[in-house]
Amino acid sequence: MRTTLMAWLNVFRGFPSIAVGLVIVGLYAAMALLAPWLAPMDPIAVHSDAVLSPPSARFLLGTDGNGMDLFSRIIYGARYAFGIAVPAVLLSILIGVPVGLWAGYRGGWIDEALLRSMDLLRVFPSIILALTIVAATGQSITNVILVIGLLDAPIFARVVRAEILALRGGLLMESARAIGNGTTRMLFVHLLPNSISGALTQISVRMAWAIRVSATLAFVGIGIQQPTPEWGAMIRQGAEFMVTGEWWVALFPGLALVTLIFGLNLAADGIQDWMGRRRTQR
Amino acid sequence: MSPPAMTSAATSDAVNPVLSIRGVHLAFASQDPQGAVRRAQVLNGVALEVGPGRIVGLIGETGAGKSMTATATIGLLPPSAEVQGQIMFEGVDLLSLQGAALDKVRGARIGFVAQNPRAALEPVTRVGDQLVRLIQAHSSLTKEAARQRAIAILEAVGIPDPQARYRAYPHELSGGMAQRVVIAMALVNQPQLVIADEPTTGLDVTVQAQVLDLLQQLVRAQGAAALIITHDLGIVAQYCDDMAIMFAGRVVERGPVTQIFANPQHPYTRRLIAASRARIGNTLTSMKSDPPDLFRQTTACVYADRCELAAEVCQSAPLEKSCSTAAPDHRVLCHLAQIP
Amino acid sequence: MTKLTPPEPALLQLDHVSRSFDVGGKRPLVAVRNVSLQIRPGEVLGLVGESGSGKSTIGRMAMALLPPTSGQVRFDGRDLSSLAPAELRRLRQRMQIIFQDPWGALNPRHTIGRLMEEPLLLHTTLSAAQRREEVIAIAQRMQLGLPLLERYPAQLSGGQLQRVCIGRALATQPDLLVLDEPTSSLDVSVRAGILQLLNTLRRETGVAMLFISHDLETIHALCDRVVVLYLGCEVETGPVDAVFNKPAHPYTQALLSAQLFADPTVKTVRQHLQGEIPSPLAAPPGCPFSTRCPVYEARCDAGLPPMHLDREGIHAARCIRLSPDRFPSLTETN
Repeated sequence: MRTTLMAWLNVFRGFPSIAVGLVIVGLYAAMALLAPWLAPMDPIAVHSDAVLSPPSARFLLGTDGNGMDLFSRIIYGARYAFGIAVPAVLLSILIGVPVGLWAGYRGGWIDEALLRSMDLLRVFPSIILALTIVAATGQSITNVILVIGLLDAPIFARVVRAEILALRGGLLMESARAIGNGTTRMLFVHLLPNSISGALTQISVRMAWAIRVSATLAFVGIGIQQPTPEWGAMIRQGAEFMVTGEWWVALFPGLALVTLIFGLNLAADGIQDWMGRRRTQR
Repeated sequence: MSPPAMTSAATSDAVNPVLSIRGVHLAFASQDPQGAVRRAQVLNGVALEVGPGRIVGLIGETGAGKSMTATATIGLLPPSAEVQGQIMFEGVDLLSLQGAALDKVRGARIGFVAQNPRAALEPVTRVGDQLVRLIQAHSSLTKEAARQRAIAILEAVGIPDPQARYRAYPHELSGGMAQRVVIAMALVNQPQLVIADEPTTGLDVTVQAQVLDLLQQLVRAQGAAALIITHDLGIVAQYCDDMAIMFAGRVVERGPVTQIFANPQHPYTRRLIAASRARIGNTLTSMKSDPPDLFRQTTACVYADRCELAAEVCQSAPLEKSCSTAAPDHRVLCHLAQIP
Repeated sequence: MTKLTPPEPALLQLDHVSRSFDVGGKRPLVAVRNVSLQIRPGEVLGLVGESGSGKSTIGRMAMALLPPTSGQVRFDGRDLSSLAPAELRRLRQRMQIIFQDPWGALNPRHTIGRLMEEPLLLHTTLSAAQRREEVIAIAQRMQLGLPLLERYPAQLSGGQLQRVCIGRALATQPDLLVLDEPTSSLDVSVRAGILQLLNTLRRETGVAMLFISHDLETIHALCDRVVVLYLGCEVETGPVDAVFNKPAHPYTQALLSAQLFADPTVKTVRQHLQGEIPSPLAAPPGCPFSTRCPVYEARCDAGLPPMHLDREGIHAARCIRLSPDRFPSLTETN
């Protein structure tokens, strides 16, 4: 146990971006988990006496147009960020990885279908695509999760497929077959563990993307509505008040969003560098 | 065609050697996965000589340092290399040369035949143009004169239809052809010394013999000296006049080929020779088979822990510069070698 | 009547096997051209050739890793391409292969112990504890220290890893072992140990071997019979001493003369061949060796020369320029 801890500390020392990124993400995750204990007030409680009041001792980050405490709303907002990103990415993995495995291993029509769908997705800007689909299918959080998850699945599939194609050029598969492995063992014991590193790096990136997309959707008015304390929706409301001088309503949710996405991307970059270094170092 | 100065008892040292590597130490610092800094001693006091007109075979296994010796000689070490010692060539220490001075030597006075012809040749330039570029870099010939010289050398290395092949790209040539072109490039400026690093790796058996015959013939014809780096004792036995055996960054034995094969002094040399011959029936299996640990800093003998003769002194006492045997040009680096 | 086909059933039999690959051009790449060979139980057959000879492809066909384009591959009398996948998988415990690159062949994420246990897991009903015992026994036979079982492939040397591969291959006590250049990527001093190990195993277990290599000395030391391949065709076959001491085919002669002995007092007279091995995509229509043969004549282009058999019926070569005195008859398997 101690040696693995030491190993992790060394990784952090070599790649501070991973450490910083993970710390940021960790803080937000804590925020999401411990929201009821961290938030000083009920996020949807209306304080009609203090509508649009600036940051003060009572309302640390001020209140919004409905008189709700921004600080509490931002803390609860983390729940929505993770609550959408985590299931969405999990869905992408559950769909994408097996498809990528099969496409790389067998080729055939699954491979063709996968490649064509990737091409199709590349034609449309994905945010517009997400917007359209959610607007058409109904404005619920579940739909947002489903749409993001499905749109991202091909990326995981592609990444896994690429690594399997590389493995096919080597001896590993032949050797495993020669020993007597059947298809199931070949896929899950030999191929999957050796082709998953690309997918692992993608997790952080895709989470940042999911958060961004869901915030954008809410900002545009699709998916999540008031009074739900979701950052994108909060920014939407706050945008109106920027011109009248109540800057805090939009700024703080915006900062919260940007910082979390930054943390996720930083961690992703660091993990990618670390994996790259590990592969060349033998 | 026999090499000069074979009959006289003159050693390579008495006649001025073309290349003299003296006490070269080379280390690389690296960071291990735990973050600690470690130093790999790649060359640990290498000493060897190439006499005029002699073909010397530098033999060793993985990690012995033979390629590194060549890399150091032609000045291609990375900036992170920590190198000490001298490599004397035509009165100049090659290790002290940089930039333009080094460029004047490389390609003109020292020719290099690389291991992988595809890596040595530029893939996007025609073969003839690469030769011409090399010729013009080291002479004042006109383009046309250089072209003629290029065609002539392509013919000399046995490339059929050299006028047409002049315009070929490297990927259009087979492995053997590409290696011949690399040899042509090494020899076109009539160097004093040719260094060939595993020149037949990846070539078929029948082609290997052709390429080596060619290399030997051209080197002798030009009166040049050569250093052939290889792991194949067969090549050394059939093509070289002298040989040097390396292990863990040291030259453990060196001298004339016939002498060393007839009377190998170092236990490692004996083992290599035995392993290269009749493969079955030797009791060699109890030896440690992994490559030596170059991170172990020691002045004592690194071969000791796998040597059948190892004694107390081998693990502790620093190896002296060399111990001679009966023949003055046959040197062995071993505490227990017979010293007359 | 020929004696090349033995009376008792061969363990491995290739009958007129060919294999082509579609490489997108007009002509397919013919890697193996009408090769027939057999290995009897306990016999060691050497497959010698340079690049383009098709020896690796033959090895893979023998292991049913590649199907032949025509012809049949039989193991213990059964046609491998006619087997159902489950049957074929079960059959694999009787034939194993060792590749040239041990790092490429082993899963880098499994420990050595787990790798060596895999064939037992796949083909036997031993319990985990019994498998563990068996793995320890195999490791000891391969002279691998027990601590190595906990390590990963990247931490072992080439020689050690090749021993792991051999141990793994022998775990199910196969009848046939295919070895595809098992020592070519190893250092010289390590090679001897591996070859000695193989020789010992052969004596102790009686396993038959198909030994693929370009190194003539190794083949001579280890094999009973040898097949010489050139551009996908067998050009000579016979007992190893006969073929190496009195080679009949011009290619075999050239190949032997190109050997470099680690002995400066032995100088072979080099037979200089013109040119290089043609690409398999541009194989000559008649005898594959016609472009470089020192005794070539116009008749050689007429078609693939038949196999000529010597008087004892054990040494054969595919050449029309052989002395009819020495090689009077043709084999029936043409």
